[in-house]
Amino acid sequence: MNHPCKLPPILGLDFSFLDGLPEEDWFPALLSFGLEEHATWYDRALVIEASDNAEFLKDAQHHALEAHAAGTLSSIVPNDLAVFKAWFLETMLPQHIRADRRRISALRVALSNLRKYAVELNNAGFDPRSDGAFTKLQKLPKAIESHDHSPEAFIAFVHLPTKDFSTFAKGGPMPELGKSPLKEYLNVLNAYCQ
Amino acid sequence: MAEQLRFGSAPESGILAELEALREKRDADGMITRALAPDSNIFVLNEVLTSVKEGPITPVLHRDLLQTVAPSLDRKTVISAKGRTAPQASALTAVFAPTAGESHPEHNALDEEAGAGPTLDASRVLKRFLFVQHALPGNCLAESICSSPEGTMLAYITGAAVKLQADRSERARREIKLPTRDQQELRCSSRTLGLVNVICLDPYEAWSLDLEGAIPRHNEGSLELLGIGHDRVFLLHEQGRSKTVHALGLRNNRLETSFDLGDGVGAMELSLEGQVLAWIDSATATLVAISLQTSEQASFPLQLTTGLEAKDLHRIALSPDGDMGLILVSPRAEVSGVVFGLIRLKGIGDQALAGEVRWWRRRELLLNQGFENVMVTRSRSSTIAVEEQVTFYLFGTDRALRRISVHRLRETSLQAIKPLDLLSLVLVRDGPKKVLFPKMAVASERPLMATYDQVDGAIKLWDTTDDTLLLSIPSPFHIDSLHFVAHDSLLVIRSRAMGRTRDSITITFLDFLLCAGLRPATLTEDFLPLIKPLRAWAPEVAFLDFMERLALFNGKTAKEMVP
Repeated sequence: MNHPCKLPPILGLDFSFLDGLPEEDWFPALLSFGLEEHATWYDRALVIEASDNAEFLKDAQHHALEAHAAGTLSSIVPNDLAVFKAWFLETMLPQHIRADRRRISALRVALSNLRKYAVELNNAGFDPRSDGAFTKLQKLPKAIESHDHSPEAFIAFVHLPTKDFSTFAKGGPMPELGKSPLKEYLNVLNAYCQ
Repeated sequence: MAEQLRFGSAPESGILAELEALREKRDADGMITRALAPDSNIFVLNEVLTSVKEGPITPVLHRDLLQTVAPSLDRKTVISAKGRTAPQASALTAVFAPTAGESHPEHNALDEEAGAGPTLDASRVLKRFLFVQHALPGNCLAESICSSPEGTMLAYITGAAVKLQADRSERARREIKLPTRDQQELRCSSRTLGLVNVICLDPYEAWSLDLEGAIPRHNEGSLELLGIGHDRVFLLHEQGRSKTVHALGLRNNRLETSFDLGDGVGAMELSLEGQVLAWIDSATATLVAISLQTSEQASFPLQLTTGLEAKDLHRIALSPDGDMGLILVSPRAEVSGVVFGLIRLKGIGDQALAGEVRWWRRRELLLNQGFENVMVTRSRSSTIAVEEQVTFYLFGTDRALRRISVHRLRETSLQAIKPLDLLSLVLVRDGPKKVLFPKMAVASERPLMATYDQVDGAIKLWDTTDDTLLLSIPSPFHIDSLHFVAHDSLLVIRSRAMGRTRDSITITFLDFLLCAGLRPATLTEDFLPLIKPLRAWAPEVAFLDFMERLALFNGKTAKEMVP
């Protein structure tokens, strides 16, 4: 039996793989999707975002109530959906996912801090193109070190805004770095000097 | 060490104290009048006007001025005397220092866009113009740098091409995957810089030359840039004791000519204006000059005096026409008592013959110390149509700057010159310390000269028409070379650090500093051509808006005064 309300795409992520599964396998499938197949923190964030979906929550509540009635779940399941959501995230989600949910904002901060380090390194004259430059660093994460185009990733890190950078980090193309301000300056200066 | 940006030779502390006294008396008009005085500058005026605008008292006398500039006054962009300190050099130490707040990230810093932070302090405004790193394409790490005599071209030896996309050589380099760590370390130790980035500043164009294939065995020994002309860049290649000068085509990336200088080469100098390459052959004690165009070679015996050896000669300077040369004797070689020599490379008439040499002793010039560095400049003046004068500036070990006018040497015999008429003192600086690694640069269009020495830790900018000190810029790093480029609006600096072969290139926007250092009343519409390009460089800086408004206001008042 097909579930009447299939999950719509959330943040561009396709959940159509759930359609072929029975309802009771949804939650484990989502978890494995989030934890194993797409184990980057972006995708974990998406699974947690999915918990904001009302249909998904109702579904989860229904399962929880059934489990409570069957006696496999000892705690009381809240009826109010908003209260249920909080309870669900606190009780039902595995500990590490819960920590991730809190860490998701911390990770954004980490990205911003990382950019600060990169900008400072850049200002201090760090040369991303010299041999073994990344292996000698202690603070930049392995993600950049093992990136296929580490120097480009580093330059992108320093020059791109967060949004463009995350597109690039997920394998998107390198966006244009914009016009060179020095060129603009010289064009105006040369025009005045003539 | 001078820690603050300073204009002229007098410190600002006096004017700041007077302003503070007026502020306590709540005399807004008095403060503005004081800030408009001849010994003030635009930084001070901006600070005073901002504080008056924010304060409770409205000025009466200067109401029009305040109203005109008010939209550009912003507390966040005031560059106060405190904010004019040098930027921190130790960014790397900051990166590796343990940060207290690391485990508890602050949530207000969420998603901060690069370069668009919420706080903009005063020094950050100034940093948009003072020692700007990464303005040039590539990673701005250079092993050696040079600029063309007229300041329109810049070249530096580096590892990163001007374009972000990997060029041919970089791609090739990346393809070499080394299997073991040992081999990787071996490769790290060898010099892998193989590019010369060339930047043409008028009109702007940047490209990279690949040394691999162009210069034989380019990664052995050391390479240094000597100069860049319209079509060629000159590199000095040192391998052991042998030195070779290569001329590389700028557009075709091909080796055009090579000059083999042999083994016993001492000091050398390339004069692109005079199209001469000159060096001292220590073995034969001669000065060898070779024409870059015709490859014609001429040797002049140095006629060294007793106690003076060819290896003591440490620096040559050639006049722009290539007719006179000045040879400095190292201040460490004191046996002979000689400080420098003058040599005539081209003769004029019977009085002044080519090859004439005269060595000058410390005692006859009444000097205590020798000279560390020498620079040649043409004096320029837009107001007086005088004959172009060529001057040698000599940087003494005692931190004094002296000058010799070449014009006077040209037509008389060197022997006929009275020693005491030769040198004139430009400035003696206080302090018992000796000068350390002095560097100099001369502008090509404006009458400007820049000097630096490690003891002061500051770059001094001089007006060469009357030898006055215009400003002193505190430098956060030791400087290896200075270059005036782009119509003398930019000062390009390569820093130096112990144990590093590659150092960063920074750019200083001189127009901003020169405009900001003006007396507030002298900033008129004539200066708009200097301010407008700066607005293209840093459109968000309100201080530029302030300067523009002030220039227009001053221009308007001047017109009202005339009838």
